[in-house]
Amino acid sequence: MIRSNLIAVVLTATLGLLGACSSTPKPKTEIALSNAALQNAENAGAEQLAPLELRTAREKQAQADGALSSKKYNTAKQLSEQAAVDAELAKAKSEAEKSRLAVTETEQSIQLIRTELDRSGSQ
Amino acid sequence: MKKLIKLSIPLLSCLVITACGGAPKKVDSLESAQAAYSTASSNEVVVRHAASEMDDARNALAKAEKNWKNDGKRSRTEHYAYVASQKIKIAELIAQRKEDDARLETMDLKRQRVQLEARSQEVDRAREEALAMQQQLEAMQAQITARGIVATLGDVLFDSGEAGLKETSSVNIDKIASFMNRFPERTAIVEGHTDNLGTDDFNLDLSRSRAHSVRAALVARGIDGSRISTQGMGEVAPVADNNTTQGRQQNRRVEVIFPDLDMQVSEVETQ
Repeated sequence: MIRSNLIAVVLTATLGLLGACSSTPKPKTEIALSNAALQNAENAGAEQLAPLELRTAREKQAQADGALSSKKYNTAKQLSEQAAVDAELAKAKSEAEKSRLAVTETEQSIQLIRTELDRSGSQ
Repeated sequence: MKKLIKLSIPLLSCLVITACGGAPKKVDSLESAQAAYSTASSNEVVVRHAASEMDDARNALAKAEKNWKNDGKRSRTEHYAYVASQKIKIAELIAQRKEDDARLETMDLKRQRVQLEARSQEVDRAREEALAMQQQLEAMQAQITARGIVATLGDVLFDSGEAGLKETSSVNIDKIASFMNRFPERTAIVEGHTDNLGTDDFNLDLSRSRAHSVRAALVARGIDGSRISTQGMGEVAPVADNNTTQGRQQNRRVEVIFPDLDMQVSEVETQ
């Protein structure tokens, strides 16, 4: 009897502990969001235009997946939130880079026509 | 049990802080996020172009501050500080991209304007060239024929049976030289012709010699000899009746032919 009481106490204590640890629910939304953000970054050409940022995002996502499978939901949630902003950063950088390159290219083409104009103008 | 754990956290934090020798309560990542936020939010371009990202940053920063100030949760504080600082970077990049995109639009206009300018300059030049050519052709009294542009130097150039150029011919030669100077891509065929007096051989030689004389006169005026080929036609291509004095005079002539540019190569090769 004493023994079964002891088991009950231990069980209750364990459950209580588990309850305290897993107060964060499984972060399904966060994982979905970070996956989508990674996809967006890849679509924006981050592989070429923001490789470092994209790598950071992927690493965090992998860590989040790891935390998820070991049921560390709070860690998984935070990591996937970070993976999402990292991926957003990769996308923003890729897009900024594209526009910057377009500006440079246009500047060069204008310069080229100008030079051509000046040269033929002075002939 | 829950209470015990909850109680133990601030207790533990106190212990940690004490262990660190009463270090000031601060989180580096939070401080740098706050600094980055203050820089970005004072940048009018960032605020204008990336308001929603700046809101996200503000919210994350507030969460970080709350977690630190109220609960002293370092890991959560750092998490939200990280999110905030990434959002600020995103906001700055978005602002930069939108500025570049706006510049790109005005640059496209600029490019179109410059292209237009280039095109109109080209048109002007082509018109100028055409006008210049027309004037020169008129001066040479040249005609446009199937063989190209033909300027005829009449027999006043030469005495009968002679190949030496007369003094009076120099004005006409000058006009040809001036045309060739103005249009340096043009090549010329100088063709000598005679009337039907004398033997065929004599006339052929005479027509060749006259063509050579004209060529030499052009070279003397600075035209590159490689641009000028010559041929003697003798009496075979009269332009007037050889039975009259006037007709024979017209037949004694040198024609300077400027083939059309695309015909030039084949014409010269058949020499």
